[in-house]
Amino acid sequence: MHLLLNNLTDKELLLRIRKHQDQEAAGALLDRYSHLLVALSLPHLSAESRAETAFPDLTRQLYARLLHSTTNKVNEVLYALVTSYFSMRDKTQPPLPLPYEQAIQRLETRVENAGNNPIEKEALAAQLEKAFGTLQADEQMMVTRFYLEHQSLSDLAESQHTTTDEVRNKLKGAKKKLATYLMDQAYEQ
Amino acid sequence: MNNNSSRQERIFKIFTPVRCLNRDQSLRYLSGNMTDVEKHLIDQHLVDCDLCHESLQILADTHQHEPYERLSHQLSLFLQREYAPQARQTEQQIRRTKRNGRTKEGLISSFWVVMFVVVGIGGIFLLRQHLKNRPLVAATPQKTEEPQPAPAGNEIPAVREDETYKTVDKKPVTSGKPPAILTQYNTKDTAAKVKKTPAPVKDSASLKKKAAKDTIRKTVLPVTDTNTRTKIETAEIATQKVDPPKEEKTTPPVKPTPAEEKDTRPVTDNLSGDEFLYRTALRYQQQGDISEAISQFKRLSGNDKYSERAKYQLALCYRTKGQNNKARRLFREVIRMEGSMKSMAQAALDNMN
Repeated sequence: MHLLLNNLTDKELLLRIRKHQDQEAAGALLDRYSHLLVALSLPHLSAESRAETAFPDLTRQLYARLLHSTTNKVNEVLYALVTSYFSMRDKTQPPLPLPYEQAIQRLETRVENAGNNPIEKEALAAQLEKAFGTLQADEQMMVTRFYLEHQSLSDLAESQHTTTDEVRNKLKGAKKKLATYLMDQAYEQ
Repeated sequence: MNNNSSRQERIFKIFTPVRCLNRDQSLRYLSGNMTDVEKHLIDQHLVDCDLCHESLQILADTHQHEPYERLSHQLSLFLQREYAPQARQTEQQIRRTKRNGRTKEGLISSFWVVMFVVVGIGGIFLLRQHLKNRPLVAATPQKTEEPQPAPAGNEIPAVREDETYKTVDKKPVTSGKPPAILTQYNTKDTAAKVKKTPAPVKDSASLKKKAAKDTIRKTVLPVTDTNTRTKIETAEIATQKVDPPKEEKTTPPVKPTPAEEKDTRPVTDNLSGDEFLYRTALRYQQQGDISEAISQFKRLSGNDKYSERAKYQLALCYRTKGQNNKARRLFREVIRMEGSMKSMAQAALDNMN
């Protein structure tokens, strides 16, 4: 059963957890992200004893948040939980999703739902091209080279004489602009 | 790299989500031990995922690899222990519920089996009871048919208080055979008895009461032999079956003729009480027992059906007895009744005057 659950996507596991309170599915999902939880928590752990108390607590809180949240992005929930857990922020209230995050999530869902529908895909591609034209030249160049020409972050950083983090931030900013533009277009229509 | 795919397909990759790094991918990515396609997919994911990006930055420090692997393994075991045992418990609970369900089903099935057996046995018992009662129910119509002669039978003893029929009934009892089977042998006996009896069936108005009663006994007996008597009885029964409606319709209260008197004698079985009383009174009157006849007619004078005839006969009795005033008064009453006896009563009254 555990092997079968490992083959399921995050969305399907979350559905099991939220609908049937499936503990085994929760275990599979938490185990899938446990190494990232450990990696992200390592700088904040001072001693082994603290790790023994922090990880069970974090996993329980993560399970509770996943059970009651509406988003399917476990990585974002986990990142927000860990950062809030080891900081002095309010640990009870999960952060609300930002507007650009909602726009990106909506666009990703739209791309996923377009699937094999050529009409929808063509319309969505036209909108993306139109939004792509609104980006700045360097952003267009970086997006084109990364997503369309499949250059790696390190290659882009070398070509731009910057770090990978800056390239990543620029790509992330370009995605935000595209998503918000398409959302604004949808609202205007 | 798949550079052959169209721009439309590629542009969707900007917003195509990629799964987070798994346990070994993060270390392989840091070590550069992966294909370009896989590396580019991880790069695409790292653009979006802060968790994986920061984790890789942390794991870039090689000192963190050892605690990372150890703690991640421990956490994985903890999660398996934390969540899997509950699943086992749930399995145990499911097994328990299944067992409970089976036991419940077994109990319910056994209950219904017992109920079925009980109902079956009860049904068989009721059926047997019904079958036992059934012949009785079937026999009741035969019994219900009997009550028709029963009233006659009930009346018969009252009728048979008359001594004449007591003597008739005694014969079959002594012989031990029903009268219908009486043969010549029996007829001989009866004939012998008839010969032995003096057979004084004549008017005995001058005789006393005891003598009259004795003659009544003897007159019934001497009705020749039993064969003729049974014939008469059957004929009378046949006539009586037809008579009652005739009596109701015609009501022939004519003056009792000798022939009528003869007919009235043997009628016993199917007569009603009043009619038998009337005929008995007539018989007493004919045999000269006037006072007994008067008492019988007095009983009938209150009856609607026989009132007129009884009063007429009672008047005749008084006349024969010499009590003319009573006779006249009764004749007048009969005339006042304006029945079928009016003319005869008027004639008798005229004769007395």
